[in-house]
Amino acid sequence: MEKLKYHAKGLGRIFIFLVLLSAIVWRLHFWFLPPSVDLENTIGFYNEPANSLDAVYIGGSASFVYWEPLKAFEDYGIASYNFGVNTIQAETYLYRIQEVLKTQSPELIIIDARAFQYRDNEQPPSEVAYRNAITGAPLSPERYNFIMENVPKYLQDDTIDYHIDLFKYHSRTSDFRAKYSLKMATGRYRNSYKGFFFVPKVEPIPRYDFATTAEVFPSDATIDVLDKLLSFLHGTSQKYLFVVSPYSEKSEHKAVFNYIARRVRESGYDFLDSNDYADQMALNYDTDFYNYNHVNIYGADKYTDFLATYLQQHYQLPDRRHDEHYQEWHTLLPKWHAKVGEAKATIDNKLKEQNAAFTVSE
Amino acid sequence: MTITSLYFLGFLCLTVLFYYLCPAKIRWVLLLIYSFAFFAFASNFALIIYVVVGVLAAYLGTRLLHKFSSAKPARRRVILALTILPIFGMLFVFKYINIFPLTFNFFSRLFGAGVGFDMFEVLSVLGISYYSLSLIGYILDVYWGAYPPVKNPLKVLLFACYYPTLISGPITRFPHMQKELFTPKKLDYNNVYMGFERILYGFMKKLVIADQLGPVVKMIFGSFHTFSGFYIVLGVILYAVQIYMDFSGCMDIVNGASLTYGIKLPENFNSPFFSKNLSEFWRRWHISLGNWAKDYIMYPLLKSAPLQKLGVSARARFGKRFGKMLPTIISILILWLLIGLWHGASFQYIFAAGIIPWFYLTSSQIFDRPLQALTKKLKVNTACFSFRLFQSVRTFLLMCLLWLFVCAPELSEVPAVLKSALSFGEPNIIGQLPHFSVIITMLMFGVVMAIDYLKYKGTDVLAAFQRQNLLFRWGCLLGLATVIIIFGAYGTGYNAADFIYGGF
Repeated sequence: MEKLKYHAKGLGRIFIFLVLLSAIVWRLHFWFLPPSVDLENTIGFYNEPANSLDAVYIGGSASFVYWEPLKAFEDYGIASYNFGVNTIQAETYLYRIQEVLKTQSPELIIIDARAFQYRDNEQPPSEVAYRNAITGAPLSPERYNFIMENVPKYLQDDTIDYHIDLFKYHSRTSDFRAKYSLKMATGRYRNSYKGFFFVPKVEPIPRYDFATTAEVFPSDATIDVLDKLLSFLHGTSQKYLFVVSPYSEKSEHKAVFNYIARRVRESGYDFLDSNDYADQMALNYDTDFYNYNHVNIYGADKYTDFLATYLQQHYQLPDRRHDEHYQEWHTLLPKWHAKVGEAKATIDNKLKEQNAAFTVSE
Repeated sequence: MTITSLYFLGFLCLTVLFYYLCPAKIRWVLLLIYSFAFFAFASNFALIIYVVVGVLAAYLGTRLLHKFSSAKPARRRVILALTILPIFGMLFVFKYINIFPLTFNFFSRLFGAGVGFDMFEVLSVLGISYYSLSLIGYILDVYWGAYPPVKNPLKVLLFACYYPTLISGPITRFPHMQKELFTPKKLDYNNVYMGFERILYGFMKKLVIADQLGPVVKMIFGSFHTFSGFYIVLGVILYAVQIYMDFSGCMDIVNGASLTYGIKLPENFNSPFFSKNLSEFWRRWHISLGNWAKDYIMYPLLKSAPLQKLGVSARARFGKRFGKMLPTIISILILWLLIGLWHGASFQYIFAAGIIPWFYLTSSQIFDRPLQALTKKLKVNTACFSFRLFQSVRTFLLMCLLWLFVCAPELSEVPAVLKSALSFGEPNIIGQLPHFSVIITMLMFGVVMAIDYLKYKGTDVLAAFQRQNLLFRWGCLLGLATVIIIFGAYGTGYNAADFIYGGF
């Protein structure tokens, strides 16, 4: 009995000490995360009230500079969020969807399909892509599995500081902002634009004739990622829409999308290449983009109108505008309008300057 | 697997758990398996063959020496030589073979011959500098009849490759290790707690102080031409702090890890920065090497017939004092040259860790009496704090001068470094350092110095800490862990710096 008591006391102390140490690591985990739009989108998502979103848009910048959740709410009553981060990779989608389903049960999850096209050549798996996908997300078995399955395989990297963000970012004392970190660490941060990011720039981009019915097989690795995702989706009760947002699409891209679209549709999910509807959206390739791959706020307005209408027609999402639980969304609108106005004014000025410069050079 | 990694902590936790779950009598076998596992994780496992060969030579040789204990001395000397030869040979090949091309190239450069040899590419056998000396010590002890050889070769193998000592020592003695490794011990949670507390303290020294200072030192001496005297002096002082924190931090981790198994290793440091003179410094710095060198190099040399003869003839020619001093000076010279060589096959180490310490110690021996007389004549109060402080600062600065030779990129660049040290210029790097990290590093160094001072005054700090209230202890430990996690140099963006003494 004495012996048992001795061991219980000894082991109990070790256990309690380790629990306290883990609690410190857990709290510190959020303190040194680098300030970024990715972090804000991620933490903002986790701080949304549980089961309050009807649609979640998953992707990279091809989602969060395109889809305007507050416009979709104001004009169409759709409660949605851009759960997007920069330079996203397709292999992070499964994990991101698992994370979504932990706190939300959306009717529809929209998946940015462009990540399946660019991962083979233009933007292969990278550390920053994986870091963006996990930074700010809580420690969980899903996060652990994602890291273990992808980091050694695609990056041939050690995994320890992917598991614990703190080990990566602890030395960032130079750009440490106590107030910001406190907000992020204590669960008080709410994303005012529901994951949308403003880029007040403009640049004319070429519009290629991308139409083709040809199919090009992307790569075994990409198809593995797609198949694994599709197989996971079958085990969930949500509806899924794979989307290609508007950009300067080329026929070689389209051919890859054709192949992916077929695989997606064969699995019973919807695939929409919005570039096919550029005219219907009235997209202006001189004024609605800020680079080859992204729209500005003018393009985002048009895309959001187009996609929201499509969602209304195909997914019967509820109209939350008069729902008392969504009153907070209305309070966000004045700030949203001000920011949209500001972004548009900046773009208008730039367009004016460009026109003036063009006139002078003529 | 470095010992400052989480993998090592995981390895330690698992091995400690299994260790205490096993019957006490066979725990030493488990330690042998752990040592093999560690060797495999930390190095190329195939290289353990060299450890095994060395151990086999030591085992068979000591058995023979014991068997022929009453044989003629010449015969025993042959057995001794044949026993030590393979161990020394491997040490020489793996550590010092490059001394040949290095010497040739050095003199070739010196005389402008313009020819040179390429260095040999040799394998790095984990812990060879440490276990070789431990084995040689064991063989010599058996040769001198200090104790009988051990019957079980696996016990010699564990003595040689007990994994905590493979990284940076300490150089162990068989009687001590025999008692620690092979005496069955009960689980004492205090040992486990104190072990991990010491590991935490070692992590702090290594990651928060040594590895934070490392890049600054590297930057200064990497392009010393661009820095003024202030920065060269600052750089060498920082190097002194870095090397102490690095080596003693490693020892804290090693001793702590060993303590979790209930095995106490000899200490390698005892508050060296408070030493009042250089001989005291060397008694407090890398203690196990100093003691080993004294017992197995210096004393046998002093007792050797040629030096005894030299002493007698010097006494007859130059007087009693010099006659007594000369054999000591020569044996110290040989001892320090070998210590210098032990640090690495380079003239830089032979000079910095060999010739300069010898020069310091010999000078202090020669000038000891005149200086004492001068102090007395000038009526300097030597029994006050200010004089003791002066002595400690003087010792530290003399050591810094020695370390300047190590900091210089090459021995031939030492004059240029010294020239830079005497130049004046605008300060240009302090402003670039991350202030908060610098403050924390300095604060932690202050904590280490305070603890060292208590140790210097004879306090067993770890035992005293253990007597404090649980709340205080846990507060300190959790605080220390937090400091390491936030301010430690680890993870992406840092190169996991190897322990400086791991390379010797």
